[in-house]
Amino acid sequence: MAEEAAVVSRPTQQLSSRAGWSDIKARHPWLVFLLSRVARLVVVCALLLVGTFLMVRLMPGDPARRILGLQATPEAVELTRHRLGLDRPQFEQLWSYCWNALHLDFGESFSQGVPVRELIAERFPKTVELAAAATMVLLIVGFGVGTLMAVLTRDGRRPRLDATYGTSMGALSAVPDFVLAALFAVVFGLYLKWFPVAGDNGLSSLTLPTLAVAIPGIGFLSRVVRAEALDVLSQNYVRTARAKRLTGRRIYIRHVMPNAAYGGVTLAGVSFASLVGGTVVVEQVFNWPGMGSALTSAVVNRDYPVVQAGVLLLGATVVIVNTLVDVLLAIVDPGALREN
Amino acid sequence: MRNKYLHALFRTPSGAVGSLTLLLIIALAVVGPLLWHDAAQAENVTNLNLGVSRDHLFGTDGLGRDVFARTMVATRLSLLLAVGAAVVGAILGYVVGIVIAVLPAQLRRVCLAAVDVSLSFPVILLAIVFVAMFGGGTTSTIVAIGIAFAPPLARLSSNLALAESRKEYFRIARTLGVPTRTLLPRYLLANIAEPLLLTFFYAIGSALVAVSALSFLGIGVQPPSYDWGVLLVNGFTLLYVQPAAALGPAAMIVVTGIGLALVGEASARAANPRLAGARRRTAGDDAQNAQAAAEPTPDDPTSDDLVLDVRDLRVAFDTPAGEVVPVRGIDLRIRKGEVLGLVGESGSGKSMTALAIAGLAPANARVTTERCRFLGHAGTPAGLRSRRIGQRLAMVFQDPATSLNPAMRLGTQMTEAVRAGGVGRREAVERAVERLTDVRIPAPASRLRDFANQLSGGQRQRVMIAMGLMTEPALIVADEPTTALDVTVQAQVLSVLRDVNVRSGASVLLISHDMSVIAQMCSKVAVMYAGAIVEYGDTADVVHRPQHPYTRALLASVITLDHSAESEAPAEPGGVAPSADGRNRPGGCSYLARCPIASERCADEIPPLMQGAAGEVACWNMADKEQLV
Amino acid sequence: MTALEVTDLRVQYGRGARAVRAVDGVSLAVPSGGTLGLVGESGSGKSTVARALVGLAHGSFQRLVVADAEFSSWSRPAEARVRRHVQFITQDPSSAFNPRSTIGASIAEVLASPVRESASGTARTPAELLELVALDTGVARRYPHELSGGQLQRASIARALAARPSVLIADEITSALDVGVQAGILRLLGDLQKELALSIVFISHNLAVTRHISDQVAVMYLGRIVEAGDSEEVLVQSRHPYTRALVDSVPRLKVGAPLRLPIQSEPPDPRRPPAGCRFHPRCPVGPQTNPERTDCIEHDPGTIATSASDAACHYASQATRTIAAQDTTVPG
Ligand SMILES: Nc1ncnc2c1ncn2[C@@H]1O[C@H](COP(=O)(O)OP(=O)(O)O)[C@@H](O)[C@H]1O
Ligand code: SF4
Ligand code: SF4
Ligand SMILES: [Mg+2]
Repeated sequence: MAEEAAVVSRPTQQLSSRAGWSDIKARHPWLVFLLSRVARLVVVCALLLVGTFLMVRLMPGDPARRILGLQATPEAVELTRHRLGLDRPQFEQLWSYCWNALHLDFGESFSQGVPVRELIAERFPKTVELAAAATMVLLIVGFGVGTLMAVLTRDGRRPRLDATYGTSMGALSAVPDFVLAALFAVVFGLYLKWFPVAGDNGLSSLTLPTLAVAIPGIGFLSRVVRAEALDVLSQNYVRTARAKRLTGRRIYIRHVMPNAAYGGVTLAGVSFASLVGGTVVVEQVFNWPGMGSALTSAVVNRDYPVVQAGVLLLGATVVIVNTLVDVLLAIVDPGALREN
Repeated sequence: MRNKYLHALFRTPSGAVGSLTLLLIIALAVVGPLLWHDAAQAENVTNLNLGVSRDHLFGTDGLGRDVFARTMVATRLSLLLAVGAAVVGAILGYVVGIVIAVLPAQLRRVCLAAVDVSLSFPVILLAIVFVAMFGGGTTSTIVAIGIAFAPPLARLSSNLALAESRKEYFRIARTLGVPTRTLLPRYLLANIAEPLLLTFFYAIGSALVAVSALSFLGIGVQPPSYDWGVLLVNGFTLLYVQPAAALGPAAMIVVTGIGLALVGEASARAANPRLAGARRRTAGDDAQNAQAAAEPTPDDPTSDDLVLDVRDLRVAFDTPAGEVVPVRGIDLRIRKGEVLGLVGESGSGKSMTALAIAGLAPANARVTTERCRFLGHAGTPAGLRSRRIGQRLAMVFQDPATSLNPAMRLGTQMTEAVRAGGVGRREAVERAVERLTDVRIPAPASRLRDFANQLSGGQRQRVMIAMGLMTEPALIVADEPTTALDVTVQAQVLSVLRDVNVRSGASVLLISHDMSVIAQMCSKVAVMYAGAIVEYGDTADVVHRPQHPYTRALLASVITLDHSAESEAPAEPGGVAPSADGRNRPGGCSYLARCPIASERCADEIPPLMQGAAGEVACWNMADKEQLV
Repeated sequence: MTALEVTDLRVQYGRGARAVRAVDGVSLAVPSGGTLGLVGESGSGKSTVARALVGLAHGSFQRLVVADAEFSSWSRPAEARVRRHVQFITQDPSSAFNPRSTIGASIAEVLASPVRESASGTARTPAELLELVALDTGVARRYPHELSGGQLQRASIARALAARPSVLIADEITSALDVGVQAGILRLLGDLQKELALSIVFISHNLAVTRHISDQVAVMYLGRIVEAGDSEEVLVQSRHPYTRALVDSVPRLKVGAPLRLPIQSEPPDPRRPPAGCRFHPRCPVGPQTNPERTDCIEHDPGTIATSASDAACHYASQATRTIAAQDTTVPG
């Protein structure tokens, strides 16, 4: 046997001197993978910069005019154009916009007169706090319910429970977060007075917004988790594990869960990323001092520097989270790395 | 297709409720503004912010207008906005997606990456950005949300179209000269239309939520126009005084959304049988698990030569279409060290037999036996689920590529069964190395750290055998272990199996559809046809002096090197076998329709296994005459 | 007369160090009205040859002759000629049909194709074609999922015949079927060949099956043809050790015959074919067992064409059938 292996490997050694990019790729998959993800991250952030820059410039009509309204004097319009930097050559505008943005300098808020940076430093952590809390609830409940339903309804068991579950989760995901928010505010805030309905007074204030953000997602997530788990349960290797007479617990823990983890990590990442930008409406309902409510009022007030900075920051967060998820996936399933 | 949907919609209660709700909402959208327009506009300063009453179901607003009337009137605009945004999104997304799918590979990759990036932004955030650019109002709300919806729809349609164009039948149609004008509508669009339509349906629901959300934030529909979102935010300012003004429009949004979701769910179930819970059961039954606790006891010292003794094994399924009986009462006796072949065409019930005796039959299968003894322990096949006894039976499945866990190292997979039985880690690893050596895997110690995808097909199958050997099995059940493999690899796997049989003394039940494999490997052979054994005997007798006409047909169809090109073309068993669900099953012998020597009796009586010239045969015309009564 | 001929066909998948030369200089000639068998292990490049010949894989060649028209590179006219004359049937019939069309509609599409108008032979209706492959005409109204594997494979032969080809390439068309069904398909193929004067390329990993239907046989190993010739000759007097291994791998219908194990090891990584003779790490009579055969490691015995009955082995001339492959005889 050893002899055979040696002979087979001989040509490999001869050929390995042919080094090239794809050879490096074959030998250091991790390095190449990380490099490619970082490169993608940089490109996307650059695109975001350009995108937010163009956002103001591609608007139909004169942005300054739109900010100030039709009654504004030409002088005021000119002044605003200057403050926006619209009077300088396009390339110079882009360059200074990017340069400043990289130094986290987004100028001053039109409506509040404070530097955008300060505004955001105050608001952004609040949104992350809400999104993280909601993601946690979403994942725990979503995975719990999804896995439980998969186990209960596997192989076509309990068809009635299966149908009821599908229907109710479908209905649940049809309830928009702001409706839930309003409902919660009335029921738990107003009548039962269990939780405050506005502002930020620690954990008790966090509860209602968190639930309002998380619950519509549970309907979706738990169904995806269930489908994923059922798929793994029906794989041939699970039958092999049964043939080995392993205990049910070991089959679930060692054979089913690791194979379902791939899908799980993806979903967790997607959930968090979408919640970071998706808390906008609920923040408004509960007067939560996060990015969402700041962004909304900025749009209403045509406070473009804040809109730009907000979109840029939320976008970058989403992209960074996605990159982290990719790396995590590669750790969970190193096989996929090799194939890629 | 349309009938299928209609049927599905009204078959389930949730689908029926959903469809009726939607019809009602659509009716409201049509007649709402006609019926309630005046009431909705009438301001009344004496009636400001009234609560719920007979006259004002949802109370009145800050200008004294009736909120119920306004909610009804708003139905039309809300629906139009939602459908409009979904249409814009679908047109944009689907067109972009399909165009991307037909681009050259390099360009396609770039475009897909761009779509992926935009995909990661929440719809509401994108919509806000576009509203910030275009300003508020009805049209810009539709456009903004439509654009924000486009990326996911583009991704979906390009994925579907790409997958479709890579299908084998698509490529073959091309080589057959089917022109593009046929390919596009009949292959590509026909196969992706269903999921795209379903998604469009879901998109309307999501668009309703997004439109309402924008209006709710005050950046969507602008007064004096109003949709449910505007009403909701107006009511929201009065939440503490007059909750009905907010909850009314909220209820409409929720009801419409649920209606859409229910209808979507029902149509998805109709389109996808997997969602309908029609999945094949593969797991063990709880009842069977309960039996596992009661360990079977040895009670028959006389039969210790018999490793497995099963009498009258039956496997039946209850399906909506009636009872399906893949295995119809068969006896199997396997002696120590014996290699028994089970041969028959596909669908004859061989795999179901193997799974049933291993206690691995699907949960909805009804497995019954008159007698079942494994290693002298009486019990049911499911009793084998007991670990100590059950592990003495090892399984090797047909598809080695999917039967090993892709995410677990081979070493862990091989050792986990014995480790659970209390064997130490080091000893288990040593044993695994030994077993891998037994099945001729080179460099076994380093192989233990590998994953299954690092092995070739033949190696995987040999690892499966080695894994079974870990628990010192008394019986190895190998279900078509080489059918998926090349002849050279088949030779390797068979020789390993033979080695193992000789060296460890384990008996083997070898299942195959190929008589030549059986002839090489087995000492006894059972021929299976339509769920029953039709011939049983020494391999030499069955192969060289076949009795049953089906056995002869099976043998004649084998192509070996001994058939020279000049000799008569090998025959195939003509016609079709009776299926397991009992359709086209004649009253008498199940081979009747294909039998060249059938006589009168064959149509009336089912032939049991009888003594033949050599071995046993289930045929009225081949059994020993003395046997016949 | 050859119906289809290709010289020095090469197909590569991927690039750089991961590149696989799936087909590395293959030359084939299909005799008009005859059958050429192509055998080899899975991964040896048989299917790639087939797919390249019908344009489903991108390959290069020196010369391609299709029904007396010669081409020196893959071009539109070459493609058109191939579409007109060459048809292709795959291993898995269940993926070969559009699931949304009835079998009849799938066949009718091919009949309606504009390319067919200039085709030779008589046009037939779907019903006639189904009859030709011994299927019930009612099959025309059925959907693919309603048919068995054997029925579907017959239907896909019928559809290929709708295009009125002169050459049929059959890629492992019986490998997914039971032996009983396989026998029927092979007989059908033989009958059709006589009736329609078809030329056939029959691809299989089983030498017995290939020999059963072929006049000529080419044996492929790691992207190359290592032995070719008259099928009886290749079988009875195989000169390449790999051919002999394939011969010995075929199970016999003889009870008590020794179980032969011609090759023990796995095929090498096709991305890095062994130096010298590509078969040397596995060759039962090569340097593994005869250390003095250093030629095998140092010199490539090269590629050969079908025309000459030859074998790509330095020791082919010394080889006879009696050099026994490693027999493992186990008392049964
Ligand atoms: N879960 C199931 N429900 C209903 N019928 C089944 C199920 N599984 C298998 N069958 C039926 O059992 C019969 C025998 O199948 P199988 O044992 O796989 O045959 P073989 O192994 O000989 O090919 C087939 O007709 C098949 O349709
Ligand atoms: S019993 Fe009759 S029909 Fe059945 S196999 Fe024998 S002769 Fe044929
Ligand atoms: S050249 Fe050498 S290694 Fe290659 S086939 Fe011939 S004897 Fe074997
Ligand atoms: Mg089977």
